[in-house]
Parts: sequence; C-alpha cells; structure tokens
Amino acid sequence: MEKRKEVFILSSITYVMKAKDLLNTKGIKCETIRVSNSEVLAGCGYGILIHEKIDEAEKILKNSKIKILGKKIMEAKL
Amino acid sequence: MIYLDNAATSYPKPKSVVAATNYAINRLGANPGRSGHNMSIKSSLEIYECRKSIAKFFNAPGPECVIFTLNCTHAINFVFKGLLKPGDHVITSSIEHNAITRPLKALEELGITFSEAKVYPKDNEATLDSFRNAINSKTTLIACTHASNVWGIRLPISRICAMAHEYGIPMLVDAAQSAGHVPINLNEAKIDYLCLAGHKGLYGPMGTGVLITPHGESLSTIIQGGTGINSESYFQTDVVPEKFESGTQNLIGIAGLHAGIKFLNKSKIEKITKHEHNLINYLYDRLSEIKNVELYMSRPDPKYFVPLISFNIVGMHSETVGEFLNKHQIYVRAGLHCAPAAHKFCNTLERGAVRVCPSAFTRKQDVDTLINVINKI
Repeated sequence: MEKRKEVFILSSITYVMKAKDLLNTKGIKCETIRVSNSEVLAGCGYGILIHEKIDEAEKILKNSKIKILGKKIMEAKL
Repeated sequence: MIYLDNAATSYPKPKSVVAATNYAINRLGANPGRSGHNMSIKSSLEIYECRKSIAKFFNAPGPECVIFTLNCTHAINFVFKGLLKPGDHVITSSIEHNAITRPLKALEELGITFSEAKVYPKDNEATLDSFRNAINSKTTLIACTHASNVWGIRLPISRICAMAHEYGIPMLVDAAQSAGHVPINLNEAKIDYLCLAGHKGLYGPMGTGVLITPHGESLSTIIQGGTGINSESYFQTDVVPEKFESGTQNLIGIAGLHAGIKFLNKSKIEKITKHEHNLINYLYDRLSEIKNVELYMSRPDPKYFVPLISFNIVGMHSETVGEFLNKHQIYVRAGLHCAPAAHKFCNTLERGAVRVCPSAFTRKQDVDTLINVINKI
C-alpha cells in the first residue's frame, strides 16, 4: 500500500517553521525538509513535507497567507 | 564588585541565558537556514522560536516581522538607509543618542534633512505639540528614542505615533533603553519600526539586536548576500526576514536572547521594573540628602521615566567620579554616554554625568554601598 505525501515549497525557512507550527497545532503531521532543483526553485530552499490531510493543510496555509511556491508529490511505501 | 552600568549592557545575565548560549555552541553548532541535515534544522528552529517569542513579547503581527541585527544601532541604520530618499525630512527629539543623530547627520550629504523636537519632561502634551510643530511637507519619518539613555525621560511614543499617522508619517522607535523595562505593544501603539538592543533590558548577549516591522517588504535592504534560499539567483531575495539577514546569523547570541525573553516572561517585566524603580527612587532620595550632589531631573516617576539616574558632584568632572567609584569596585558609566544632544539638553556637555542603572539582580545593599562611597568624595 502506498500513501501519498506532498512537499509544499515555501518562500523561506521562517515560513516553513511558521507553517509547521500552524499545521501541528491543527494536528497535521509534517516536517521541515531541504528542497533543491525543483520546478520553482532552481537553487536551494526549504519545504514542508505533509504526511496527511494534504488538501486541508493547503487550505490552512492559504488562509494564513503563507504562500506555497510549488508542490512536489512523493510516494511513500507503507 | 557592584555593577550599576546596566543601561550600557546588563550584567550579570540570568543563568538560563548562559546555559542557552552554552547549549547552542555545543549542541546546535550548525549553520541555521543553510543545510538540510538535522543539526541545521534544529539551529534554524532555535532562531525561529526566538523570533516567535519576540513577536509575542512585543505583540508583533508574526515571527516573520522580527529581523535580527547586530544591535539597535544596526537596526536604526537599516531603516534610515533603506527608507529615506534625497529631499526627505526626519523629525527626531532633543535628547537622542548618536545611534539616531549620527546616521541622520551622515545622510545630510544625500540631501536628507532632520530637525529636533524639544522634549518637555513630565509634560507629554508639550512634547507632542513640539513634534507636531516640526512636521513639514517633506517629513517622511519620525524617529525618536522611547527613553533617554542619559536622563531616563520617557517619550509618549504611542501618542506621537498616533499623531504621526494622522499625517501619514511612519514612526521609528529606538527602544534600546525601554525594552524590558516598559511593556511595548506594537499592535496597540502601531509602531512602524521598533528597534531593540538584545543585550540590555532583554538580558541577551552582546551582538544581538532586533528590528520589528510589518513593513519589511517595502523597505530596501542595505546589505545583500547569501540567505540560504533562491541561491540560483544573483539578486537578493525579497522574502522577509531573510532579505535583511544575509550571511550567517548569530545563533549563539540569538539562543541567549531567546532565554532572556523567557526570563522576562517568567520573572514578569512589571515585577522587575517595580524592583528597579524602588531602587532608583531610593537612590534618588539618598542622593538628594547629599549636599554636593547635583540631580537634573525630578524624582523618577515610572510614568515618565525608566529606572536610571544621572548625577554630578559639584566641582568635579563625571569621569573623575567614575574613576573614584571604579577604585571602590563600583561600575557606573560617566561621560557623555554617546548622547551629546541629551547632555546639551541639561547643559552637561562639558563634564558629562555619572549614570547609575540597576537591573533585576541589583540589591538595596548595592545602592547603600554606592551612597557610602559617594559620601566619601
């Protein structure tokens, strides 16, 4: 069985930490990761790996005016 | 040894601050916001948690509004040089530190002018009028101290800020001497640029300063360089706070500052300030009894003053008094305190003054010892 995970690429490490804080308080499991060579970042940056409730997480961040620069889908084997 | 030079930098630091810096250097040694390994993420988290604590402490809109700088002067320079354009006019007060006056003086070369609004101790209406009367069609910023580093005089910043906004003028507040002594609510006061020293009343280590602003996106940065993001670009990132924080950050200092904020939250700022005011008023009363002591302000009412006193001894230069106290292992600050405008205000430019500033750790017996030594002069 495979579970979909998604990385939201954010504009800075500060916003990644803020997003993680926010999602954790809403009970959504996520973690900070380093992102490079993505479609939106040719160089390096940071993102937040969302383990669950991806659509809800996206909505929460948008409502909190945390800009999602891009997304990266990751498949995780369970 | 008795340390009464807390307006220059607080000493001793709380044990928790020492422990936090020790932990950061030993256990969080990685470069924050640069790599993806666990230690780097942990050090980034420490910086973020400090931003969050500071934002909460000053009721700022969010941690992204908290920009770390080297010190308060650095924060002030960031605003002046990132905001002002040739032709602009700035209003400041008549009791400023060189942190405000020197950058403004230097900016005169670019065609930026400034004027000093006279301060009236204990008369907030008159001080407010003074600022209002200094406004002209080119005024683009009001920048002033929250509390004089020499005389302890508090300026009515909330009222000045509200008045400035009526004219569409933003306001910078230099809170180097008030932060940690006077509660500051950024959201209530609507301060546009709050500049802080981390190593004074906030009990952090030296080399820590903060600029809090909700206007970071429209403020230009005066330094550019690596920020750990958008590395592919030759252009500076426009994302705040990283836009202003090029180069490796002072993680050790920031961890210490974070512990300093926690210390204030735990000890309660109101309680510390009350303790300091009790000591400074006790000192004032005792100094008033000594015939050859010159005091320049009235008894420091907390409503109008932060807890510090500057005085002189008749017929003596302040530095001579400072040397005498040093021989008795009492550490105070004599001279001009980098604030010629404030000394001009009380006609003490020639011999300066002796400044005494307690902290949360100062005891009544320290003040008694100071008085006993002054009595020997």
